[in-house]
Amino acid sequence: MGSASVELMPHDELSTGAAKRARHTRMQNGNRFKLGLFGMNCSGSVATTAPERWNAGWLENREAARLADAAGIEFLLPIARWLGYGGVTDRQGTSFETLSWASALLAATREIVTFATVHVPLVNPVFAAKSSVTADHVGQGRFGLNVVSGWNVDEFEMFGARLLDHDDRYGYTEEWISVVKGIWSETTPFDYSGKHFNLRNVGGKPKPWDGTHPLLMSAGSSPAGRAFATRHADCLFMVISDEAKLADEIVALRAGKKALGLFASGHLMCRATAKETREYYHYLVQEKGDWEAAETAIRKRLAGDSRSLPHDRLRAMMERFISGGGTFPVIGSYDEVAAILKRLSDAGLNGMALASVNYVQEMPIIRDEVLPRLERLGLREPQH
Amino acid sequence: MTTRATRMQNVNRFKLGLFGMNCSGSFATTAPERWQAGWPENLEAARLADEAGLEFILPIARWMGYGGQTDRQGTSFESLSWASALLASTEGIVAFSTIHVPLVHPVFAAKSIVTADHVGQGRFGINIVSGWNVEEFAMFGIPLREHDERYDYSGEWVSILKKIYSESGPFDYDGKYFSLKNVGGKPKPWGSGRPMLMSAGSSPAGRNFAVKHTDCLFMVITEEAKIASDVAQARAVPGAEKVGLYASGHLLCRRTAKETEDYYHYLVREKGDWEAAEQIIAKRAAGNSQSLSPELMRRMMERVISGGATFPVIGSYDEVAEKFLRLSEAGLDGMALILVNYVREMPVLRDEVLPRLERLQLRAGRCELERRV
Repeated sequence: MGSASVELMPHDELSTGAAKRARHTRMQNGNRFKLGLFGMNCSGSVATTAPERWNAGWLENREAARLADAAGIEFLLPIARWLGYGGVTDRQGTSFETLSWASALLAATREIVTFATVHVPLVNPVFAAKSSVTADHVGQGRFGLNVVSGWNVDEFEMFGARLLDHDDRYGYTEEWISVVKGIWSETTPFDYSGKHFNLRNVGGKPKPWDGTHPLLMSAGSSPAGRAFATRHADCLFMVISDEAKLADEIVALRAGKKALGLFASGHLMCRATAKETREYYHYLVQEKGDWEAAETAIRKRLAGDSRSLPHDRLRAMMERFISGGGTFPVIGSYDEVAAILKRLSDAGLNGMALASVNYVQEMPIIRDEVLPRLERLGLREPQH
Repeated sequence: MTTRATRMQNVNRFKLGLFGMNCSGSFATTAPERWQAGWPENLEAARLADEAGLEFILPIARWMGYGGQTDRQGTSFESLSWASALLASTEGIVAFSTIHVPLVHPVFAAKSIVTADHVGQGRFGINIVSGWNVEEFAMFGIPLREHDERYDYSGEWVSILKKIYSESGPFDYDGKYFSLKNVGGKPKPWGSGRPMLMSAGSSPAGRNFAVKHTDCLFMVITEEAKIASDVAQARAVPGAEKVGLYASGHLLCRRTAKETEDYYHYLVREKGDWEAAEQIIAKRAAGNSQSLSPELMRRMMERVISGGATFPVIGSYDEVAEKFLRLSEAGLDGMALILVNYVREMPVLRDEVLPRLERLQLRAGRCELERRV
């Protein structure tokens, strides 16, 4: 855990004929704790009515990406969202589709790795394979694919699509990813006959950039989701529910696949002192929070089970939702947040994708205050 | 209709675009300068076209190549991601995506299109195609519908797309092909308009669809003598007076007619991928090609090699300029052009063809256009 970062080996699943070459993007750099920006393609990263809230326009997406690129941040990870959470601000109601978003940002940046997040039941794998390859060539190997099975019934109804039973979803996703990997690696056309797909003479050129394939990430907390990631992905994107249990969870996951990259979602809010941070948090969340959107979101996620929640518990969940969509809070003074990230690294995490109240306005703090502290803690090398 | 102010709405009487540069083998030739469709050359060609003042770039949606020695169009980029990246890299040119509507869900497409549209700040357009290539559909595990039914499906697809763009509140959609609940999407397209919609089609059903649902009809024209009547037929569809009429073509030109003929002979007769050409014709004719006479077959193969059977604009600089003038006079609003190599041929297009079109008053010079804006 204290030694060098886990080497991400993105080729475990490629067929034997494919070249086993490693990529040399920032996701394979020597930094023990990698950082990304999370969800900036969607509005309302912090569900607040404060004027600095994230509106997710294209120009600010591009500016944030360029600032992150110049600061040496490893990656950008978007959220696939089709419907907002209502309330005053309609959190995530404004969003860009992530394949087109990633492709454009890869054209506009130099080194940062950009993921797309694809709801596999909503996009045909043959389409996704070529679209991913396109973005991958645009970024000359800097593209990654985050595959998600979906959970939001309302969004699926927008598509007229049925959400499969939880464990069945991964059966479908396995077939989907097998088709994509086949297209990326097979040099001759193949047929695919599965429970969900029945495809003839499938192929596709070009292959991904330079004989390698895009980094595959998968999000999931359930046993089925984690088993899927272990079998098919290069990285698992986790939700940290309890920091105290994180190290044990990671040991168990690594037992399944040593080279699995482990990343988590979080949100960063920091100022020079703990007091200033508390005041800013109070302003954004308690005073200006979109409590209506928070309640809608929690009722949606719990799908009817929220009525049984005690009031305090509901209120705590709402607060957490407002301050960063329920992701892990990285909140405190510059020194405190550096120490939190150090603890996560010591627990075995390879990195974190961070939401921020405003990805442009907060970037100088990340670049000038947080990153230098992480360098002094030995978690990251300075950016040249 | 859109109320946009991109180059597609400029005053040029005859607009020009590049056609199909996202796919390899624009000419089905084994000559070393053939188009390989790598990303760096796509980027370079788009920037050169942008600087030269061309109005648009129009890709082809292709999932499988045509075999032969070069596997024409076997290498291709998916056109939504392609357009989005090129819009991020250019300033004034309009980039289209070509979408096979049966293969992409309209709610997904709507958001993907809006994304590209914001990246290009309104410089994005969509070319709606219903599909014809049975083998490509089999790759997707999706059946190809009967010809006229395809347009019913496409009609529902486009209606959903337009509603997502125009409705400020969520809506339900209950059609023959789609049953959707609570559909919406933000952001809306850039500015006040929506992306320009184009549709390719030569059949009556295809033309009617284009007039009813889109802003431009993209035609396949074969013989110059028939263009005026093709245009008249298209314009005769009720409502067609406002629709832009574009066609596909391929440009091959050198200083003199003789130099052009020599280069054509080299690319097509000497270095042509005749094997791929035969397969393309067999595929498009879907079994009916055996009845073709060898002479006709050979002529068709030659046309396929030279620019995928699109309209030939071949000759000296003066000749091709005059040909464009005739196309414009026949009523076409513009043409999307295939080039053997979109980077290497661009200086000829920019420095020789465009100035002649300006002198023929088909196009204004770039400086003049910028002054008017």
